[in-house]
Amino acid sequence: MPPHVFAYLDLASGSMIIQAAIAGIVVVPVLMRNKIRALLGRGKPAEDLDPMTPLDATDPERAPVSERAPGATLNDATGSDRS
Amino acid sequence: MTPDHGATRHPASWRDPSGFIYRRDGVLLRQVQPVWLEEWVAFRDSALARRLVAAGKLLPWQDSDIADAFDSSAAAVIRPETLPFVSYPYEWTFGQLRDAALLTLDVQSAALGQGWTLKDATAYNVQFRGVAPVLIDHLSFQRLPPESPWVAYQQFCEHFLAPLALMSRRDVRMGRMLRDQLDGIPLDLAATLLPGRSKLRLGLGAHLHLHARSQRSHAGDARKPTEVKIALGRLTALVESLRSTVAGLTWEPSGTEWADYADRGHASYEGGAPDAKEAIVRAMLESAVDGSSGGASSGSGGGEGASSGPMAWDLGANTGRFSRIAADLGYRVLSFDIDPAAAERHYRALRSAVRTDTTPLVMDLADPSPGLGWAQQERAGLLERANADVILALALVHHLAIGRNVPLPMVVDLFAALAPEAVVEWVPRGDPMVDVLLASREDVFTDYTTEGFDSAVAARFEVRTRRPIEGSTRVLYHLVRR
Repeated sequence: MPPHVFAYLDLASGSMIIQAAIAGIVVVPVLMRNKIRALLGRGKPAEDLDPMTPLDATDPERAPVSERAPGATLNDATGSDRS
Repeated sequence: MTPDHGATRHPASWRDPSGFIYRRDGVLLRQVQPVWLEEWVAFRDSALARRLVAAGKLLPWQDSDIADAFDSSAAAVIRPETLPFVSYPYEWTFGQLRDAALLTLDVQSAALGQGWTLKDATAYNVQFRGVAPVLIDHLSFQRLPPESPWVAYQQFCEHFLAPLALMSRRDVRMGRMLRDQLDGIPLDLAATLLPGRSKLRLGLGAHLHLHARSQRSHAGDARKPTEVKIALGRLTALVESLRSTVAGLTWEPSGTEWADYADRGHASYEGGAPDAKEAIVRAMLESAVDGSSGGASSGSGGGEGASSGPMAWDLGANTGRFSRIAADLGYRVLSFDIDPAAAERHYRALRSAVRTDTTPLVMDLADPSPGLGWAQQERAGLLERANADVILALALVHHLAIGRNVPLPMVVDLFAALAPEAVVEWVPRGDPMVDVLLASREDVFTDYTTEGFDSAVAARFEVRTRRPIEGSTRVLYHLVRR
């Protein structure tokens, strides 16, 4: 593992400092939100979420064609051309 | 370091010393430099890479022979999957930019979970396969050193958060600012342009307004990334906070001139005219697919991502009625429209249907994307990327000729520059839409006649078929470039 990040971008001190500050602030509400969601059964805590879950599996709008309801088509997309 | 003959380095691939992309014998390849070989091999063999590709979030690739390298400095060569077309963030709808942002954050979240991080987060690292965003930069991944900050945090905010916030909270047309700001929208500028109440939103207040203020306050600092420590749990929370902020930015595509156009009736067509028009367009596209002119079926253009299968560009596509006909015939389709709301509605409908054959883009054909960036080659202009076998220009000519004052020969020249074949609808004087365009202005368009259009066409195309649309005064032309 490299000892430090390969930062070919200009990181800008201000961005790094505020990043650290925001990360320190949001960690508590984010954890709390995840716990509450877990208690309500509305989702798993972030640390338990499989980050590799395809969007398709979590967003009904993105369900693959093979998993969509029968008859689902592109009809919603159609309209008239511009005239 | 002398490059082999027959290889051309991509004009946009020079920022990251880890490697670069180039084209050899028409094939797009990526060279990995020695400085990045260890990281690349570790990533290539990782579960993260396999799972990202399997989830459709990272463009698949194949290892290639080192003999295919651009030059002798290569440590490895890979061959990414070919994309049919390369689009840019300033051509995307609001939803496309938002989905590209969420993809980037999802990938970063996944990477953090497995001890990796993205070392850059530019919007140009995302492309669309149909309506599915995919990360294309295989060298963006680095193993995360302990307690490191996210080095791409600022870049993410400038490339994604700032433009999305402006589009959502101020005006969707501000997405076009990305055309002038290739490195993303400066956060201080975004903070100035956003409504004051956006400071009260937790996510925007922190990641954008406070971020901009911190940049100003520490403008003179020369701090190394190793001097800032962030525990992994906090870094994960930061990414999750960014995701919530981006997900909370919304925009409803309505209220523009064309957004609801598809829902309204049209005086230009009577009775079964729309169906008749569809049937003629389908027949003309089928004829183009047959390829009797040699145009279709080859991906004949010299654009970035020519690949197999015919390509159709639908110019002025609105919400995509005729794009769908082309897609159903087997074309890969790019659907251009000037109206961000119409393009957004098209994008959402396609996303619901998970079509992988059509990509909507926002484009003003009277002012298409130019060559931009370093040497004006970093981001190619629209015409440089022209790779259509056939274009559809339905109910478009009168908007360019009368609405934008473009002379008919120049309109036809544009069509000829874009594709070897064209399906064009001619809307003559007397049509209700032409009357609307002329209602509030002086009629200076003495050349806007059927004879004038035929003359302009004859200079650049042969007319394969010419069919009036029953129930209207309009005529469809199937044109083959001379």
